[in-house]
Amino acid sequence: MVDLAILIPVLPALGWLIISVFSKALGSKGSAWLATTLMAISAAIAIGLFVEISSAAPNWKAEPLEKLYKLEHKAKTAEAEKPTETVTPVEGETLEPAVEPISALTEEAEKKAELLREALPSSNRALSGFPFVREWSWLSIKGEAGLPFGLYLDQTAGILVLMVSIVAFLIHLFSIGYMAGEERYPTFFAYINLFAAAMLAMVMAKNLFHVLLFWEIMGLMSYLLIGFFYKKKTAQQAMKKAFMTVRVGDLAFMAGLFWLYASFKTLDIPTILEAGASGELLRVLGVTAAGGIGLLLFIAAMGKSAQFPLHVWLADAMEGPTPVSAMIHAATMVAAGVYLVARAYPILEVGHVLPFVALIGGFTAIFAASMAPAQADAKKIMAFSTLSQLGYMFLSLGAFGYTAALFHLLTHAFFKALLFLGSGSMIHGSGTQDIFEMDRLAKYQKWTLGTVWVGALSLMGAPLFAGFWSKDEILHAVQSAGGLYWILWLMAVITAILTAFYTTRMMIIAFYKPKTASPWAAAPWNNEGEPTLNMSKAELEDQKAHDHGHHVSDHPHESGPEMIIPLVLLATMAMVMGFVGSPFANSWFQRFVYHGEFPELLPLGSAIPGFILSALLVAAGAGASYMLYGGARDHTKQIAPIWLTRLLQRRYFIDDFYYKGFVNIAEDIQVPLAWFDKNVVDRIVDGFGIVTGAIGDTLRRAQSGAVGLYAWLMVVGGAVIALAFAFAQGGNK
Amino acid sequence: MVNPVFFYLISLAIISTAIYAVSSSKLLNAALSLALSFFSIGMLYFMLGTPFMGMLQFLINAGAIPIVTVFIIFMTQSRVLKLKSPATAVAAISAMVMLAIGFVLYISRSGSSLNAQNVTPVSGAMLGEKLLGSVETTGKIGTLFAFEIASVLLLVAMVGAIILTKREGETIKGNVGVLSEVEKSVTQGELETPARAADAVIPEAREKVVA
Amino acid sequence: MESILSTIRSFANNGISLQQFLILGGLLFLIGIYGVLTRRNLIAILMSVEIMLNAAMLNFVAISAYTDTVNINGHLFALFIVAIAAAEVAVGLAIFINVFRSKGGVLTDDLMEMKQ
Repeated sequence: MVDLAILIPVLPALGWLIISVFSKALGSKGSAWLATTLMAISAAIAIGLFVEISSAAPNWKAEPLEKLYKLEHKAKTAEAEKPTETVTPVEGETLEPAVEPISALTEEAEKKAELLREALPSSNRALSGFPFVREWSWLSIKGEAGLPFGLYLDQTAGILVLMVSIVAFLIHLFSIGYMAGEERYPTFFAYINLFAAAMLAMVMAKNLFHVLLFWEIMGLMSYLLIGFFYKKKTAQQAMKKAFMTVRVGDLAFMAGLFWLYASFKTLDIPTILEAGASGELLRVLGVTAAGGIGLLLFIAAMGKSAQFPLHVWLADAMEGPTPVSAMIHAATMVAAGVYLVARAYPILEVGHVLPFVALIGGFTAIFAASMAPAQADAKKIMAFSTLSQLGYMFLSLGAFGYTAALFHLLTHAFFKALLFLGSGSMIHGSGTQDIFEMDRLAKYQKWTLGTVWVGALSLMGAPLFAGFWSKDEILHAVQSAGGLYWILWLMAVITAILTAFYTTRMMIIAFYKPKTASPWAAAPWNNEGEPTLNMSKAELEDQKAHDHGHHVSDHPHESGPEMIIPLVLLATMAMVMGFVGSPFANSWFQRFVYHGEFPELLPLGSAIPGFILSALLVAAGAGASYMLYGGARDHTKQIAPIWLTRLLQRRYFIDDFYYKGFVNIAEDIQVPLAWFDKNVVDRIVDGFGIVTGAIGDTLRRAQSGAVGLYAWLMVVGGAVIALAFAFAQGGNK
Repeated sequence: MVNPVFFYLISLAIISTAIYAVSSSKLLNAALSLALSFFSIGMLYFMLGTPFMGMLQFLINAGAIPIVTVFIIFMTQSRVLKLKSPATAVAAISAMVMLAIGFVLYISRSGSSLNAQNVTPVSGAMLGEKLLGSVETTGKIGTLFAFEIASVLLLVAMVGAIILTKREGETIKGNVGVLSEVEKSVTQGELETPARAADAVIPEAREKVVA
Repeated sequence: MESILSTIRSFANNGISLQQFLILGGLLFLIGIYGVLTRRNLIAILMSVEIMLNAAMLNFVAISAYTDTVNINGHLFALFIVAIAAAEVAVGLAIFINVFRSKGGVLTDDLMEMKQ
């Protein structure tokens, strides 16, 4: 299976190529099924690959590993608290790690080695050749290795490949029904095929350069897919916004890679991981360089995973078709940022960037969660919940909770894909995205209702659902990180309550309440901000017709089987997936991900108080929501003060600030640039055309068509060449 | 050693017939003269000690090619030509002179073995060995591959010639040629019966003579 | 008188060197070029090209016979030239028949179609 691994990204990429070229011959249905079949084969190979990786990976024992965790935790928190005081004043000694008494060090090392032996008996060691590496020559210069293209398949890659391929396959399957009847139906499948291929290739890449390469392909595909309904003005706006915002991060990514290569001489992921484990990274880079590189890489991740202040694109990305939103929010795009931070973890750790990561993550979590309750659009609510859950992941990464972050990434992918596809089904059935306009969907959409409830409970973190286990791990990781992390922990707890609140609110209004007009449809602040979005009446109506266009139906109805089947599958996953990291499975996931290379600070299996706390948080949020909206209460009543609603719906005016700050300036600059382009560059280009045309017109006359003349000229030319050779020969003698 | 007397005699024949071939206004005569010129070149090959090449020259260059040429001259009704204006000839000759000067200069400045006197005879067997030898038979890579390609080329040329001359029911603009007459007769069924009758008669007559 | 006789004798005995063959080949080649340049009939042009090919072939064989005693590459080249010349004549003449059919003649003037 490892030898087939390269097929996992290649097959969907092939699908993109075939559909792009032969979409006419394949027809709509043919293209869609081709894309889906290729994705299914990819997913099948990915499952096989994952089985192989998990059987080859080291098999840690639970209890000694827990002790090891604790030991390393102690060392790590001690170290984590120190640098905040020591690093800044001592500029010259950055290369020297903090000096500790030698006896204490050796004692600790011995204890560690002892525990390590116990936790990993020789029979449980990794098979030889693990992590799997496959390399092909690429860009080799004069026989030297140059930049080979390689796959690096360790536990992290295995999990991500499995998750991405399965979720992407289910989204493909869903799209067959959801996108039916749309314009450019085959193109859509070509795009999402390449989108999935880029993500799959990225998580398997062995070299950070290739990560960047596929990262950029994903950026392009997200641009094209968000703007898939390119005739809509808002979609045009959203695609540009997404691309430009992510670009800020991409620039940082590139700068970080340049810096890393300049000072570390390699971008090879295994080498970096190894150097991180052996301490070489610290010796070569030093804290300052590692901090700078780590910060740049984290900014890249912030762009891709939409963390504050680069979060603005994600909510607007809803302009794309719903399966695309599912793709971006669950399987691909946003997961890439988390993946990058996980890959570059040693660098961030050495450079002490992790507290910053945690801060950004924690802030984004609560910040995004606070905006969700004031939204009326089902997909927007989902978008803000994604932002907030990604914030959780970064918070966890920043609090040394590497395993917890990956675990949450995995579970989140499944339940968020479920929620998005479920909201797609709701939109499909009701013909609107506005939860207020949805008319008691619970009566009509039994399957959708059940599956979306599973997703919603999972998102809230209700006990025994997937989100519960992973969120609990994160809370625990943050809690045990010590120091000032308790503030972040508090933020995470509040976020959990908010999440339960807005999710319940959405469920109640969309599924159980009769249809009403959207309370904020005519709010005065809707037309504040970006003037390009202030459309004329005709445009607005046109847009509305397009929004609802093909879905218009007089009364709500259930979606077809090709949409329900993926929902049911995803719902099953969302229920089951959490157990791989739960005490019921002896914390298999945590033991699987543990590299033994850099410490993971997660306790195996959360304690009972953690469970109870989580359950209470969910109950608090959901209960508050029910008190406000449930039963026979009027859900359209304005509860919050009007200024707060305005603030939240305008998203704290951050988008407007960016618009005024950057877009306006850019527009001012582009006026002289446009003049220059039109009057200087274009003229030069036209000049080339004119000159070439004139020369051609002159030379054309030489082509008399008289064969005799041509032959004569040929002979004369031959004579000239012979003479030239003769004289050249004479010169040599 | 090549005998100078015969060499100069043959050279004279070659040059004169070649000049006639390129300048005569009677195309048929020119073609025959061309055959004669090629025949003389074949004699030179005998003098150079390669009888195989000589025979090849007789058969193909002096035999087959002029015959096909004559055939086409008849088919295309172009037995008498109009010659070009003297201006063209002058232009051509001036170009030739330039080329000749170039050649002479080049050769005179480069050649070191130009004065070699001895000729090595090359038998047909030796040629065949070189031409068709492979690593297995002679230990050297011969020109077998090129030879095969040349044979494919000839085959393609043959097929191409047949396809190109095959007619697909178009009308003739100019004078009606030999080919078109035959074609017409066959399609109209006029010549068919007599031709067959002749075919049928001859063997019978032969049998009678034998008897 | 004696000197003239000795000159003749030495002329007869000395034999012909490679140079004479090359000059003969060159002359023949130039004659071919003259034909190509001055003729207007396609068949005549093809005949002239045949002369040029034969001139080249003669040079190849002569050079090979005089200098290359082991490999006889020149001979082999000449053989291939024969093959190619035959193919050329076959295809060329077939084309002329087509030209004749469509244009009613085989003069280069008939074929001035490249000029608009």
